[in-house]
Amino acid sequence: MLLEAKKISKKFPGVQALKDVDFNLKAGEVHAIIGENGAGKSTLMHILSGIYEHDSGEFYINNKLTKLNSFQKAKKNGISIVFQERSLFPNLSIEENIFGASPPKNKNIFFQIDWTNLSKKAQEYLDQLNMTINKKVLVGELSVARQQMIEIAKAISNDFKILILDEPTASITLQETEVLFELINEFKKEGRSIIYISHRLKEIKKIADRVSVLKDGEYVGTFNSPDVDIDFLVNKMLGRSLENKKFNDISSSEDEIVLSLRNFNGHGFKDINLDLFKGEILTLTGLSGAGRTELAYAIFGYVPALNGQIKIYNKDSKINHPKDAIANGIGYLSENRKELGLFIGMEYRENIESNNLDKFTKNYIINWGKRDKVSNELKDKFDIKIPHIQQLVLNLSGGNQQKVSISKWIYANLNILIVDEPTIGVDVGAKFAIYKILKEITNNGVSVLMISSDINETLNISDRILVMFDGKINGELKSDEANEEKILKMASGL
Amino acid sequence: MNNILKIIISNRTIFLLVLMFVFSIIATIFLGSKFASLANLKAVILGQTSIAIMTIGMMALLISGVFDLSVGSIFALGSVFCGYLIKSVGLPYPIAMILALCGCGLLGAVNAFIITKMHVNALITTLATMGIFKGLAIIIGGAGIMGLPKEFIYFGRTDFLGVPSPIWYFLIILVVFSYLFSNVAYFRKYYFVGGNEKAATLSGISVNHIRFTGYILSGLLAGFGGVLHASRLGASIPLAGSGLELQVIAAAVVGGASLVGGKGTIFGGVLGAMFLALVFNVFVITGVSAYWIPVVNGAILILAVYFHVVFKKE
Repeated sequence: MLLEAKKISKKFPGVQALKDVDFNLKAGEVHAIIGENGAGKSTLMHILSGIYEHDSGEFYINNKLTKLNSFQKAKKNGISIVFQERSLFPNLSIEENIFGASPPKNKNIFFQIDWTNLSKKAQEYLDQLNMTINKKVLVGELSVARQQMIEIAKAISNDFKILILDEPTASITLQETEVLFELINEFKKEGRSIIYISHRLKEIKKIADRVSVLKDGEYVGTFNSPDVDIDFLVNKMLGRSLENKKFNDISSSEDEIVLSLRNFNGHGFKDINLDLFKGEILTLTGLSGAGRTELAYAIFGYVPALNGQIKIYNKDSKINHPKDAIANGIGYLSENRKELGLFIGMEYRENIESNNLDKFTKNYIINWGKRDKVSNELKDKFDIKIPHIQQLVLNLSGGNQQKVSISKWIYANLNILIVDEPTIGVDVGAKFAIYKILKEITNNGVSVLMISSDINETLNISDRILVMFDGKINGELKSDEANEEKILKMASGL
Repeated sequence: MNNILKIIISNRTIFLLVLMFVFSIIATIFLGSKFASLANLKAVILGQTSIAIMTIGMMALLISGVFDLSVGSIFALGSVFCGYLIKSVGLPYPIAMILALCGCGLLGAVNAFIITKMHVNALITTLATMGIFKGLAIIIGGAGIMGLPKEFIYFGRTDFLGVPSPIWYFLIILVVFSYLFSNVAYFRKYYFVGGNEKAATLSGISVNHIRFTGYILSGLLAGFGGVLHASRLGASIPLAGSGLELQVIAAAVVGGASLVGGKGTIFGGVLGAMFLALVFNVFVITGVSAYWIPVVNGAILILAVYFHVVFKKE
């Protein structure tokens, strides 16, 4: 074995990210690791590359016990990683980025960078990746796909034995994927090994020799890729199928369309056709990067769509700013409550005020008494745990902050509410409270467009489900025909 | 006792009132009637009216999370525009004043346009226009426009009920703007834009709209300061506005504004301006050179921000 990891455990405050995970890697193989979001794949890779320190467990490289407790040490042991989060310097040129913090030095003059050598070597790596590009260009000017390729060039510039690719194809084009796969096959022939993490199971079937499955931080098993099919892997990833506690009071009527998109195109999504019925919860699900939030931004006018048609109550509408959307009866609850949703340095009642100013205003003058009264009512109605309405939102728990976000949009009393990951980072109690709120408003005729990555949530409270993949809607499921496997398949582009 | 101290420290307006009171008592002990007289109080307020009026505009901008370094130059242009229109064009002084103010509002709009439409950052934009506007003031006004008519001088030198007219103008502006920023829905949006620009946008607030009105208000108020100055002096001096931006920003920050926005009140900013005026008044009485003013001003600005940081931690 080239690499063996035995009983690796890692705990973060409040979460057991990895629990006694075993993993082994042969020389010259491509070994895929799969699992749901939060299964511990990235954590394991961060430990392997020396970025996180593990709590317990051992690593053997070529059967020798090895400590991988720093990035430099992992690098010395021939482990190179391509990060999921880009680790490039946008302000530096391509060639400088490829070598990062350790550019080739001039032998004669101390500390001087050997620019000729750097340039020559950089060209070699770019040639390997089949990239025809001016290597003096700043990385910040490149497309995301090109940046991902530079990230790969950077990883292979290190003379590695083990290359870790964390979602390498998430943002690159098909042609670039082909180039990458050819390169991976060449590395294999040279006896070098690849650890390959991806949500795209089709890709994994194509490139991987073996597949290891992680679930909730635990090791499920390792399988020979040719022996198993995709359905089997999906099953292993999900484990036992969870019972679906459904909120079954379907209140939608399919005769009144409140929002309809036709040939809707924008940054991160394309060719979207979608109808939202009165009183339904329509869920957009998919993997991160599938373009769901971008679509919500476009509907709400935060980042307007490039082209396409948007009809609200059968009326052609132009939405160039959130204020247009609100005027058309659309609200948007952001997934990022701290940066986009709330004014965390301000008081609870001021947050309630922020998007409801007109409701507290008569003849341009604000009625403070009304604002405070409404704030108190909302606090009681949604069970927001704060001592008084002057409380700064900053100090509230995640669940309470989310309730503040939701209550301010509920009070706005709009016809269409887009909720982006409405239960992200909230505990179980608050989660159910939020589901109840959503069901209540849809019973009153409000239409909810929900974005969710939580598969149980998606199955339990949606009336219909749209699965997005790679910026497009890849399929539609009615709530009674949907299950985890179907959704996961569609979300992986199948 | 501890609670009282907490309230004083946590509320900038009360803190400043207490500070000014304590400062006045100490000054009275050492300087006696040279400091503690109605005539001196009048002089302190009168001398600071232009700064205080400009601070109101700066406060509005700081609440919404931006600032304006060009106020001193707009002050100069306001004064010079007015003098030029009266003296060289021969317009009646009320029309000249209104046109000068419109011009200054337009300068504010130019700042806003560059910042919101051309996406140049506010520091660079207003630093550049500070230079541009100052240059224009000198080009138009030369060494100064002297001998402005008596009727115009009357505007800034008359008394009403024993109180000089500039103090009245200042009080009216203070009351109006305090009311606008504490009770009128549109101006409430300044706090949301300053509190979190992105969240404000997603709440349906047009950030650009707020930026435009903010810079136009700041331009108008700075221009009014300049016009008032010309009227009291009977002359338009292009260099009179130099360095005022430091005093105005210091006053606003002492008065409770935060450079990241969302905080402060109009009244707080005016108190900040008046506190600085008290300090400099003591300088004048004790015969300290006026060259020390910017030194102390800068030091107070740093201290005010530092205290803000310290209190925030606790």
